[in-house]
Amino acid sequence: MCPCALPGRPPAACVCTATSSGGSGDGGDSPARARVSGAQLTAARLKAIGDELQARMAPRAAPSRRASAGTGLATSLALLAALAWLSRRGRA
Amino acid sequence: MDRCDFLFVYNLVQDYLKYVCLDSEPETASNQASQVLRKVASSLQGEVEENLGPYLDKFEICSTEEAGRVFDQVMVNEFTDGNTNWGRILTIFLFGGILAKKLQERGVLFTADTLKQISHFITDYIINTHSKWIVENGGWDNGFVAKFEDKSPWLSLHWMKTKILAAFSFVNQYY
Repeated sequence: MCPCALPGRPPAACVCTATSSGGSGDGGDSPARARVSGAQLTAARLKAIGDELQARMAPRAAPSRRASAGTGLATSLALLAALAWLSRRGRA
Repeated sequence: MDRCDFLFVYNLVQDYLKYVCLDSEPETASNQASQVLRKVASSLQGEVEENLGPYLDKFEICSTEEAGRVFDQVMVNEFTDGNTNWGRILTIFLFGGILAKKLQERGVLFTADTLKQISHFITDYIINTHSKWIVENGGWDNGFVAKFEDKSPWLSLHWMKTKILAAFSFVNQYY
């Protein structure tokens, strides 16, 4: 499976194409060559996974600030409501 | 803290490898970076392992030396474009964990010595190649932990609920 077909940003150069085109003239499928291509493919896949993880976590900074502001507001409102309820109960 | 010293990273790597490779009850993580790494990386480990399966089959990984060679080869290719980010740093640990498990599958006993050797080559790579970037990007605590720690809405809601209940019970004491 070509690692370039991943969602998100693809690697700059498709190593699958590079490997297959390079392998045609120099005696092809030796174990060493297979290892090099394995390393390239594994690396491309890891790179894509790493970049995807990075992108997935990136938008969290902005909403988390908004979310914490919203949480703070909600907490304050809930506390006010709780105090109002308790003071009414105290008067009764 | 902006630390990126050998021992800190070595312990981080070793803790993660123990966590993913040993069946025994894990010890409590010694610091927040270890805790976050355990949680985030181990949740992705299976998925990434499956993804890399066809490529990893091309390697004959039967010794820690061979695992070290494969690790170096893959890392050189992964970072060849000169870009580093926390997502890619995380994949270093993931790949280390995958190689360690691969060795186990091939019958290599996961002894203290094996663990030491694997942790050593992974740490060497991180320190020699990425320590500057790590320090410049907040270090493990302000960079890595800040990036990956769980800040899910559920936690916020849970936190809010706890605070409100605490406030209720506090005020209730006086009425």
